[in-house]
Amino acid sequence: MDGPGGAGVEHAGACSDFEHFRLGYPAQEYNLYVHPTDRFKTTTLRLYLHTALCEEEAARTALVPALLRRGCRRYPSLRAMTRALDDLYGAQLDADVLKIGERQLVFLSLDLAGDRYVGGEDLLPQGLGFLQCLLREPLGDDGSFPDELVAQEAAHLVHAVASLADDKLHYAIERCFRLMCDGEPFGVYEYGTVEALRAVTGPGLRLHLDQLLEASPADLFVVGDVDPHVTARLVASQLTLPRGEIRHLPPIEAQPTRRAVQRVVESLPGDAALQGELILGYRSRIRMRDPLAPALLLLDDLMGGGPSSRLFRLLREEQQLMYSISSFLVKSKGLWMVVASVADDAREVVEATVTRELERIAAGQLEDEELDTARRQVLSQLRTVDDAPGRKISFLLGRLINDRVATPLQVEAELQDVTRSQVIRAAGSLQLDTVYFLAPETPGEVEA
Amino acid sequence: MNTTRRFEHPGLGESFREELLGDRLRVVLYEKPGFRRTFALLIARFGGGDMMLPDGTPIPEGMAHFFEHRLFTKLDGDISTRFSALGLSVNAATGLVRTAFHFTGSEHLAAGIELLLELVLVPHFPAEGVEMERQIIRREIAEHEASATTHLYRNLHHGLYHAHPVRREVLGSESTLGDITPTLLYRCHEAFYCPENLVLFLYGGAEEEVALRALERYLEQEAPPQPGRYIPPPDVEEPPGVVRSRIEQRHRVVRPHVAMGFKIRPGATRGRAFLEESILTQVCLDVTFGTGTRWYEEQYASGLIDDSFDAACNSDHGYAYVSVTGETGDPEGFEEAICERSQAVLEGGVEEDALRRVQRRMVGNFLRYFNTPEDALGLFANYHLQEANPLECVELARMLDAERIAARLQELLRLDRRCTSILRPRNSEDPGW
Repeated sequence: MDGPGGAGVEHAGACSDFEHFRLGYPAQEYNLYVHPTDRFKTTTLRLYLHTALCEEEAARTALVPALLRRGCRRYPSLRAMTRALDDLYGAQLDADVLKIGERQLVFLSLDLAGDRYVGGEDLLPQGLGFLQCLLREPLGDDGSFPDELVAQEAAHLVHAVASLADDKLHYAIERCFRLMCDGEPFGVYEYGTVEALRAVTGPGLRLHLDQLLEASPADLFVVGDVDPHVTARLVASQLTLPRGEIRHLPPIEAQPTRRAVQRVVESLPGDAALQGELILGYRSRIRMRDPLAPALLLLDDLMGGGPSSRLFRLLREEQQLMYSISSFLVKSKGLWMVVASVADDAREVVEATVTRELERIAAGQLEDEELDTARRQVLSQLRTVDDAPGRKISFLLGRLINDRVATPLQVEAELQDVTRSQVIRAAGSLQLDTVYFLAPETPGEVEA
Repeated sequence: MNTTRRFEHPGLGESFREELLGDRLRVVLYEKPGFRRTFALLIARFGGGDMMLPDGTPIPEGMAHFFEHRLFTKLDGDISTRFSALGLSVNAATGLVRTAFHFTGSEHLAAGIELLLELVLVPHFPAEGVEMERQIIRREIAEHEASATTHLYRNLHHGLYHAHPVRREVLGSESTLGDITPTLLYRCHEAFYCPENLVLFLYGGAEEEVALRALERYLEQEAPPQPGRYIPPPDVEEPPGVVRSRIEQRHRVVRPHVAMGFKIRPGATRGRAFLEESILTQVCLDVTFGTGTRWYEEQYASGLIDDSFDAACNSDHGYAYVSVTGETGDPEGFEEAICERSQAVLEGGVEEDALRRVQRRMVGNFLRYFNTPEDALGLFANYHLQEANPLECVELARMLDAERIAARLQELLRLDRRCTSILRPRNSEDPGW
């Protein structure tokens, strides 16, 4: 049932530092997580629809938020949408896809001015009503998005996907993921391929939206100066999803490393830059849900986290081989990536240094001081979570996806407890899988 | 001996204060009780646009940036290691007019502030370090040159400006790097890095009073005793017209990139007039090129523009221009559409309710700054450095009227002083993605 009062609300207790409710329970279930706080001046709403990342559906899923942004029956143009948001005192709408581990998520985000700053208006019901229109009264009729709009949005996304090559570093990282995780869901790019984007039709896309609303696990987050129970009742009556049988999503796998290291060198046509982008992809098989995960976080910071990290000191400060070198983790999947912009002749030194330093740490060559520094740095980054509503939401979402719910304070405690021997084990778990180099086509030519 | 000024907005529940410590250092304190992290931002009035020392000695291009890099090395090594050991992450960035040094963290704020002052006030420039830095900056230049944006804006600036230092390369070039010597580094330090030439911003939840006391102690005991003074760069004679109306370059881009610039007269530089003018400018660009206009919708639907489209006003000491940028399949069509739209707005005005809508929207946009400490600090530093109080944003926006918008549009959309910078793909091959 869609109407007010037709949906049940079940308070499921605390989840991290949010209050968790099941809405539409039991038949049309989706989750609501509310974090009441007066620290921010806006109320942030974010709805996520979870899907399993796969080659066949990625493009179609990516086009859904692109079409939702274009309007709905009540606000049937970009101009009408902008005006509706202006009327809500400059509410900010964002709709896009995002990849976390092996999931592709559609999200819709609406940020509303806090009621007390706009003369005591009651914006939350209006904001929920706006989201409801977008999701439940999409543009088009007869079960189809207008083909013309689908073609326009597909063309925009095709350009955006192709233009990724204009940002060489980002492009190189995506290419490395693709090659490293070929055949695994994680290797799929969240905006799909140019061919798949071009093949999407109005009716097909509308059917896909209906299926997403019906069967995708769905989480709505609210952060702001609100009462959790009042919010839950309001959401249950204002934002009704036509839920059916909810799809179960597989847990994220951490595949073993291939036997021989895969080495790929590619170039972009017309690239005459002085240096290329080197990406080293390692697998650890330690995912966020695994006990060694906090140790891996410290190892990442210690190796490539900042100006006091080993790689920065050894490669940039001591040998001046590059300006940028850093590392990052794909926490859900247990991948560790090293990224550097270097000339062709420095590639081997970088790889050898990373290998050697990992071996050293795995053999116990690890100063307490550098471990303490890494711990302080990671703790400090973790503390940014509480100071911005979007970060609070992303934090819990990541923990939910990895089946490892915790508060930021609990994660702080885990990081405090990481021992030297755990970091040594984390280093020992890393295995080089893929070395990718995006080389200039004609290197060494200084551009005019 | 400290002078304090307070700024408040009771309706918002926001306030901050400025202290002049020991009659030497301006500190702006923005306390956010309950927030876990604190941001410290130290601004020095020295940037890539500074062309000479007070005695007339020329400063090579890339000097301020090179200088910023070298400041991190002290007698006992890289000072960022000492920040890291306190759980603070430090970084810096050099602009045309200023250099910014900043750190963030959730503890040891007072110790961090002392380190920040040591970072900028204690020079150490041995010759070997200078040689090494040249090599690192060569690598940085190579990275910078690989970006399409670098070329797009360099060409635009060269097309718009005859003489203004906005033409200069903040990173310098192979040849100018060679002119940088330890002696010159020390002389720049002496000329530009003294407490009188710095402004420190603190934003966040932690121990700010303790930090203030640490600062006072540092200033009394360790800062150079001689008060320095800021030597403003001599104003460069810049004709009102442009150099060229169009500059094109082949580059490794997938689709053409376009940046159009309208050169305008630099306006108000300080106080409420500055804040008012920058709000008025935002409103004008929004009602002309924003997503709420019919014009935008038509161009978007036709595929001429996409989400990369943007219109903004870029300005700093002595220069200002409106930029309209985007990726497009048809650069000529893009240019024509922008000119036609500008002409139409200049002649026929904007949609009737445009002002009311934008005024309403500014409320939410302003509140949103407070959701992210980095954004809030950026906003405050930006305006405070021009002696304007950004807490007045929404009230000032409410006072705007249609006449002022019409008048400002005439100043902004200078079709007769425009330059179009275009990067075209080297070849039309698919990148194989």
